[in-house]
Amino acid sequence: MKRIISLLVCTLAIITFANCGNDKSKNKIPVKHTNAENSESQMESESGENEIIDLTLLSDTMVYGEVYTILMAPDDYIGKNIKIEGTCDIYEDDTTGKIYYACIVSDATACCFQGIEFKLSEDYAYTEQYPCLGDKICVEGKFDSYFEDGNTYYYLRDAQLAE
Amino acid sequence: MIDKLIMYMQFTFVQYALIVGVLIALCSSLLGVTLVVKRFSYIGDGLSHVAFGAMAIASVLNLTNNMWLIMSVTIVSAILLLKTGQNAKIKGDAAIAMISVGALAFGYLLMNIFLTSANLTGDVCSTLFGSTSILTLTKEEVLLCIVLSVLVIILYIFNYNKIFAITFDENFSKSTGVNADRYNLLIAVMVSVIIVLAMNLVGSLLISALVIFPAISAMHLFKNFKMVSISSAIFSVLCAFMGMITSILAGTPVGSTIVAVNVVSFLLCYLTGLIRGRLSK
Repeated sequence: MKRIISLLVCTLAIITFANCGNDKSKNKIPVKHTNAENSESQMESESGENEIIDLTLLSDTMVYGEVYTILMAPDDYIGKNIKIEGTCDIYEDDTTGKIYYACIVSDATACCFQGIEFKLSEDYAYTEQYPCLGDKICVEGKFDSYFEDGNTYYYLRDAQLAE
Repeated sequence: MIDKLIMYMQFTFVQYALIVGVLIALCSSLLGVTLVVKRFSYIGDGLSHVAFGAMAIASVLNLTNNMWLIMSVTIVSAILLLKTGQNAKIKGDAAIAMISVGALAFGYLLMNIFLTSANLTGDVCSTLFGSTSILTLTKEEVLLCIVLSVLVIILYIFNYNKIFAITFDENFSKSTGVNADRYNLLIAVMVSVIIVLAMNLVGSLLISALVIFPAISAMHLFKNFKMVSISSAIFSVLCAFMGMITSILAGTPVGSTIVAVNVVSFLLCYLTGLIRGRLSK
């Protein structure tokens, strides 16, 4: 009886191992397709250009987990449009004087924070139309990377502030 | 809500969390029955504080993979607490309290002095309450959890009879030729492994809930050790699963939601036991 139970446990573990090794099961997050009826847009949709990864549809706990996943495996998200809702944070580099904007999310206990940097598109006038520190914002942009001072950084390019 | 749940279940990190959460809950409940009967219910709390202290040391030393240091220190502490059995000079609760608060205090002190993180409060809070640690597991961590959990389950099943014997009467077991010290050591190691893994699920402060509540809930419904063990495992797995699902749907902290579900489960079992007892009279 013990051997049968142990065999069953091992079999379940092997099945679980096999599922864990399945890297094809990528996150399927809420995705919106824009202009799906237009044939040209349909081609773009097939290539993923018009897909929006909408994190605003997820609960706080899920958003934190997904943002963590994005930051841990950023290359999987390059080129994808991401929509995220959070608090605006502003950082000024004392050395270069550059100002960086980020959208910050917290976990359910609000003790841990993380976020994604964004750069608003040229449609926005600096600083009149830029958000202030601590503002609740919803920002959507294309996830991309840039190289600065020997490091690679990830951000939302050509970001738009959503309602 | 069902559609939302189905959508959430497609996330890899949610699948990882459910797999690890269920396995940890299962292992905790199996060992929980033994610990509750041996009056070592609070050892989960004590060892988790030791693990917190070890984690602080690992952070100060900038170790990239701190799991092995934490597990080693926790195993040594568990051996000191459990292996001595009933004949120790410092009995269970006092020993647990000493090691527990000492490790917690030293751990937090080290982290403050050496400031290894930009968000110390967040790291400490997350470790203590396990708000989202279970949702940020890497594939390697999941595989490690699976291997260790399966190992604990197999060891428990194979040594069930001996564990049962030393749980209820250690001295009698020794007199009948059972090597109680060896099985105390085995229990100590298994408990340590599960405590370290469970820190990811519910955090250091709430680990005792995973150990105590399923066992106590089962004891209100069944009187047979085997049935208590089996039903404790079922309750623990169900509560952990429902707690995680509720947490991701409602956006609440994972650890405290799981414990809340365990408390509700205990109350239901208590009432059921009460009603059944009155009806049988």
